Amino acid sequence: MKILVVLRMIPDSAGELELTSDGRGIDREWLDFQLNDFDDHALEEAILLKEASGATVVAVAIGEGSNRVLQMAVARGADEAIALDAQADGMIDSRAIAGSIVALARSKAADLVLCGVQSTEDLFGQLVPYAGALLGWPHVSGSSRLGIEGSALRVTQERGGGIAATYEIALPAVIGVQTASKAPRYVSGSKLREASKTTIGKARFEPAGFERSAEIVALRLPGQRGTGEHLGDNPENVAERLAGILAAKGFAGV
Amino acid sequence: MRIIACTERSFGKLEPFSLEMITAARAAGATGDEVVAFFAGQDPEPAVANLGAADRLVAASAGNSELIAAESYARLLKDVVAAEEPGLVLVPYSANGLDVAADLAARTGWPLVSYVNEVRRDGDRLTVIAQVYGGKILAECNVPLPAILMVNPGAFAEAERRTVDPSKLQHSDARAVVAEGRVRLVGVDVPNYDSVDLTTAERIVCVGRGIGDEASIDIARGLADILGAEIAGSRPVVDSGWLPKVRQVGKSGQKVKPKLYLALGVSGAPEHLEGMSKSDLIIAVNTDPKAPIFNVAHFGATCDLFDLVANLSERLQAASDR
Amino acid sequence: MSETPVLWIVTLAAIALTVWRSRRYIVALAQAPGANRFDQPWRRLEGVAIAIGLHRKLLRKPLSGILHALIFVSFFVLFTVTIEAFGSRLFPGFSLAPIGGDSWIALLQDLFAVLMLAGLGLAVYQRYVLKPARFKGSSGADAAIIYVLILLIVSSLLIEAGARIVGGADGSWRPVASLVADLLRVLDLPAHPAERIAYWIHIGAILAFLVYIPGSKHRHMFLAAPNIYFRNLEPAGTAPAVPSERENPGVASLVQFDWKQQLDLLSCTECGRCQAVCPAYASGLPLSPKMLITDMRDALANEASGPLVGGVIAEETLWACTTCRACMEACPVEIEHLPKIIDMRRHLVDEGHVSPMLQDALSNLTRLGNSMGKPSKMRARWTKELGFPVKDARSEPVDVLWFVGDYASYDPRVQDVTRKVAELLTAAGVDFGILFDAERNSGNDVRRAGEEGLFETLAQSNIDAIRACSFNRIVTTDPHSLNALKNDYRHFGGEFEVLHYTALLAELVAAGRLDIGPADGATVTYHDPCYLGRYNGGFDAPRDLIRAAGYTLHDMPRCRENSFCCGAGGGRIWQGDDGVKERPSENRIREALGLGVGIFVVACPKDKVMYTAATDALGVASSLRILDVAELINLREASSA
Repeated sequence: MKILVVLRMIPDSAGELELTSDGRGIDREWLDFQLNDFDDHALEEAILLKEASGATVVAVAIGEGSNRVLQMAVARGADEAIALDAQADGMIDSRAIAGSIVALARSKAADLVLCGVQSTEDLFGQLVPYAGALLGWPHVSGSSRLGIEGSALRVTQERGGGIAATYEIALPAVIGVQTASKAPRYVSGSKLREASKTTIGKARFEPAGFERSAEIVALRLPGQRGTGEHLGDNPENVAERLAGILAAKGFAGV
Repeated sequence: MRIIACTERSFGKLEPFSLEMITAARAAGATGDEVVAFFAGQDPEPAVANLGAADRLVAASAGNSELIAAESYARLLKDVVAAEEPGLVLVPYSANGLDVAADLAARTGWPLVSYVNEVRRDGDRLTVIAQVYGGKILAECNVPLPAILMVNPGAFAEAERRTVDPSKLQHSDARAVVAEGRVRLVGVDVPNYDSVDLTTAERIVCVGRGIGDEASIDIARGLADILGAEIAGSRPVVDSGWLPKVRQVGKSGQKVKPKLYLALGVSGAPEHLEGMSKSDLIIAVNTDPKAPIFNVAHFGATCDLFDLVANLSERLQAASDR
Repeated sequence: MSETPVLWIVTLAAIALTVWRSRRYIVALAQAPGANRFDQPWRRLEGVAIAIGLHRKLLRKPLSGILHALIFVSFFVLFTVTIEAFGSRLFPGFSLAPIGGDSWIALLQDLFAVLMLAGLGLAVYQRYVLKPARFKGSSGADAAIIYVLILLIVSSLLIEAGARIVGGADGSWRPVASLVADLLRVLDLPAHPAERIAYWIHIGAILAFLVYIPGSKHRHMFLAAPNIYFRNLEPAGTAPAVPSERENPGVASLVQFDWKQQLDLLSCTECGRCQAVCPAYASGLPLSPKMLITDMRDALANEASGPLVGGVIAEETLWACTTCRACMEACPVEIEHLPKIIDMRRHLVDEGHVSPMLQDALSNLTRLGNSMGKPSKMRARWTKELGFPVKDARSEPVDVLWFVGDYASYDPRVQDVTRKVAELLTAAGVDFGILFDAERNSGNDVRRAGEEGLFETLAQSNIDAIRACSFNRIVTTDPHSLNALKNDYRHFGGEFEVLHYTALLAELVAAGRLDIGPADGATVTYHDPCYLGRYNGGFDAPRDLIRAAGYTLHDMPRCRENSFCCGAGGGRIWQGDDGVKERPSENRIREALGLGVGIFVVACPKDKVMYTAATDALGVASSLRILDVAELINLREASSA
């Protein structure tokens, strides 16, 4: 079995986002880029499947810092690393990159495409359904457990209300991972240094072929909607105030 | 123009966001536009009983299984879209919607905008406001029609609940489509609410990633015990296995509406806020003053979690001992 | 039967039994990987002489030191009794009499028998009356057995000598034995049988002791001196490099430790001085440096002890250590706790066994070069609020290259201090520059958290950035960076002249380049950072600065080498307070509160963070202010301007 896992580099969620002067993009100068957390889980799930049933894992990365993340993927157990050359200086639009992922899935003869269920930049739609529909493969988003049973894939999907549905899907398929069966492993610096010698392949951008799309007119920061009262940062004062508030509202004492 | 509003049910009940889709459709529409509710699921009864605010209801029922795979839902929707030729399709941002919206976009080639909060019609186009970067930024988008929008639950008010006039109901049997599906449902796990049901809890202490480690949850649990509250967690905490799934608050967990919601170290991702922002009293403690949880909190503090919890527990304990 | 063959048989049997009881240790040491501890013999001998001859570290605890000295010296004097006792029967005709065995040696034996008993009395008093907490977890039976054996040995030798006097021997050189003889006369015991019985009790006790030693902490009688001789002569701040022959970076089983690390285990006296000074132990975490060593030692003797890491030594135990080095500083026999902890942590990290918080920090360091997860491009943002530009050392030559460090760069609580240091350097006319976003975390605590590979990456990146600059000296804000740059980077070919900013400021003050408007002499206390003081000997510069700034220094009871760690080092700052009963920082603040001073002076960015949090948590922030040394210095020009 061959698994293609997609790794998207997105602005660090801890960083402060500022807008460019034209208001259409975010200022990337002070930003660091990190692997989309859901994609990290997808990678872990791919490696877990490899460990459980001997798959080959091909990692493809898009965006700033791809090489570093691909080395990390190899250190964790990926067999092949490919950097996708997409327009790297803007949002990674999953609608736009779907064509390239589909082309790679075909050229690498993948049986399974794994990627994060969402990314913070998939404003124009999620990669999993796009890639699944374009490939004509079944797709399921939001998996929290993945296993191979015979030639079929068994997927547990998180639904609202704590409900989990389990499906069986014949391969090939595209799965959007929400949570890997196990938390992504830590890969030590010595293993990363070893993996830094890996040759990283290149893949060209392939258009998805959609004629029309929505476009961003302007970005803005949401105003602080909260009208709540700030109680400060001194634990003792806060505790005193909260104890008072809870008592006044009848919550102190069971 | 015709607008299709997608709806869903879950375990015998219509998902409340179904009614929100009808309101959103009205917001996007102009006078004379027709809003068609689309339903696919086990049994259309709850849809028929509630979706009268739409002009018509197109329902496909699959009979024996509680939920149908998004693959079948998408296929049924695509057939309805082909037949109805709408100018706009609204899909709720739900577990099902995540697979349906872009699938339809890929098959029709239509534009799609996700995580939509606001819609406005500008002639032959729409102007929508959507969340990007986990709600840290709002994007104003220009959308040519026909188009698909994936709409955030909670962004629009629920339409009035009333029964669909039988003359406005178009019902079909979806069993053949479901049977052809390649995604075969083999089981549904429903959390066991015997031990705890957060949806009916009056007081909840919810811990987020900021709690740091598993053992610290005991400290929060101590406070919850003093308050007579249920302990709950955000997705990262439950994913780490520190709390059981039944105690998860948010989109993929429980939607709660307690009288007291104390959030400890919860940053407040949109998916979490969706599950708790309607609580009566929200108190949030997080060291990051920019955490979105403060947008919905009635009282917020940015102090050290552990010192606060220890100190507050002591005070409340002393008060209840008196 | 004659006594000679009996004694031969008994003695040889005892020696054979002793060797048999030591066999596991002998084999373990013989098979252990090599360690280069044979250089500089004179320096090594000098250390042994100071440690044993002068009892330097032992006397830091006066009662223990004195009682040990009494027993130790008496042991050597009374060894002449043992020589006589065995020699005279094993080799009939042997006697010490020709060199004074019946005169001055006899007198010494008599006196030191009493001193030995006095030492023994003090030991018993200490252990059973004073009961110091450091003995918690030490073998009580071991101690009791040796007390009984010493009592038997000393009393039997006095009774034997006394009985000989009763039998007509000359007692003029044996005042104590003469008193015993008087007692024996009163009891009217037959002299000859009493002498023989006492003799055999004496012999029996000594041989029993010999056989007992290999399984007991009294091994230190033989191993303390070699263990001190083979001590580490590298600078304290250099963490052990991973030996090139080792396949993985870490150590997963005892046999992978080199012979010196294993010898350490056998040398432990269970005195508990390490435990008494350990901040992790004091805070209630599951780490006692003493039990770390004794647990590993016991595992060395027991083949069925299971895996070392995560078995004999729990993972939580390893992660509890702040690497403050107080244990190694306190150890009288130079046991090296930290290299063992770091090597076992290396194994855990290599296996990916790290707590979620530590994983976050290490991932941030991998990704961004800082533990906070802040963009590297924001590292020098603190300079924006300065009234003057800071030179970019990457593009122009500077005299002093300032390695700012993570906390000083990013933490809003410390940035004010960083700016103050910049202002002081500018006021003194120092030509300095920084590395801007080319600087990475120094890796000091990354290395000590066991992440050797990441440390190498960080170190290499910093060394490359530093080498690309033209400068004369490096100054660091953070003592942790100081330590890494000064001591660790040498493993990667980076040899620089590095000093702490307190040393540079003290130098500037001494040269009259800072015009200080002195304060009114208010009393302050000062906390020695582990990596400045204990690791790098930087005790005086901060104190000189405090005085130069016009303050009176009142040191805490635990100061200088005995400073108590804030709890942040060795990667602890990246981990939760899980299991902590009293945070070390709060323990320390309570110590300072006892002095009644209003200012707690620090010289480490992490200390500023830790102690500010501690005074907040204790609700004493208004009565005890946490100020950096730099913040004490008030410039005359600045105040008049």
